[in-house]
Amino acid sequence: MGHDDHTLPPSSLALRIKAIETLMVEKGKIDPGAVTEIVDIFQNKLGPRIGARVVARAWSDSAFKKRLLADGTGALKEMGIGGLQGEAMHILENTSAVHNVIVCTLCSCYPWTVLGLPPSWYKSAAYRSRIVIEPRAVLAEFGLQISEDCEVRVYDSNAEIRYMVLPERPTGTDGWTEEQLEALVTRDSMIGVSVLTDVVVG
Amino acid sequence: MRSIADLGGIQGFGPVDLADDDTRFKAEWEADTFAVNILSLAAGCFNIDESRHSMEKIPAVEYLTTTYFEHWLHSLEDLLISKGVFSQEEYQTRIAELAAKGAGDAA
Repeated sequence: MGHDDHTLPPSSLALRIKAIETLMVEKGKIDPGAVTEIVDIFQNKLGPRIGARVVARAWSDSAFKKRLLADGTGALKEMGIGGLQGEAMHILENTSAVHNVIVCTLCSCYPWTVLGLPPSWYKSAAYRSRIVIEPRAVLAEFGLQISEDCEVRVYDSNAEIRYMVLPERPTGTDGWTEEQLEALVTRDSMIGVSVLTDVVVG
Repeated sequence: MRSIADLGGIQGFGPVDLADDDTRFKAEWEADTFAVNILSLAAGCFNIDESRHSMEKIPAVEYLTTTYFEHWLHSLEDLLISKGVFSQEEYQTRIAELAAKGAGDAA
C-alpha cells in the first residue's frame, strides 16, 4: 500500500469493517443480511454442546466410537455435523496412558463445528507459544496435574485438520443415558485442558 | 523467514490468562470482521492459505500489539485490495463517507 494510507487519520476499526462490508455487498460478493446470519450461527447455534453429544455417543456406542476414531469427519457426518470449510476432523482419545491437548500455534484453528468459537485464552500468545514447549506446566495452570507415567501429546491444528479430544468417561456412570452423560462433558475437557471428575456413587 | 505468527515454543509470554475465558465477540466490529472473512472465503475472494499468509506478513511489533481480530481486519484489507475486489481509493472514499455520516461513532 502507498502513501495514501497516511492522508486520512487512522480510521476506527468499526468504520473500516463497515466500509469493507458495504463494498462487498455492493459488489455482489456478500448477500445483504449474510453477516448477521453468520454471526448468529457462530455465536448462538454452534457450541460445545454439539461436541458433548458426540462424546456421549462415543461412550455409549462402541461401534460408533471405533468409526469416530478411525474417521472423525465421516462419523460426525452421521450425526449431521459437517465441516464449514471442508476441513478434516480427527478425534483424539484420552486414556490413562495418554493425555491429548489441542492448540493452533500459528493462529487459532479450532474445531468450530463441534465446539463453536474458541475462548480468548486459546487465541493468546501465551497459550499458543507455551503449550507446545511446556505442556505440563501450562496444564497445571489450568489446575490439571498429569501424572508422570501418562504421556502428554499436543496436537497443533491447521487449516486442513482440526482436532477434538475425546475425554475419558468418568467412573460411576455405568448405565447412564446419553443425555445424562452429555451433561457431564465440558468444553475444556474436549480441548484437553481439563479432565472430567468421576461421579461419586452413593 | 520465521514469522512472528509462528509462536510455538517462544518463551517469555508469561502465564495464560485463564480469566479471559469468553467465547463471545467483544465488540460488534469483531463479529462483523469474523463474518465478512468467512463470507469472503466462501465467495472465493481468497483462500484460507492466502488469509493466513497475509496475517503472517504483519510486522512483529504490530502483530504483538494489535488484537486478534485486528489481524483478521488487516488481512481482509490486504487481500481484497491487492486482488482488486475493490480499490484502495474506493475503500478510503467509503470510510470517509461513513465517517461523515457518523456510522462509526459506536466504535
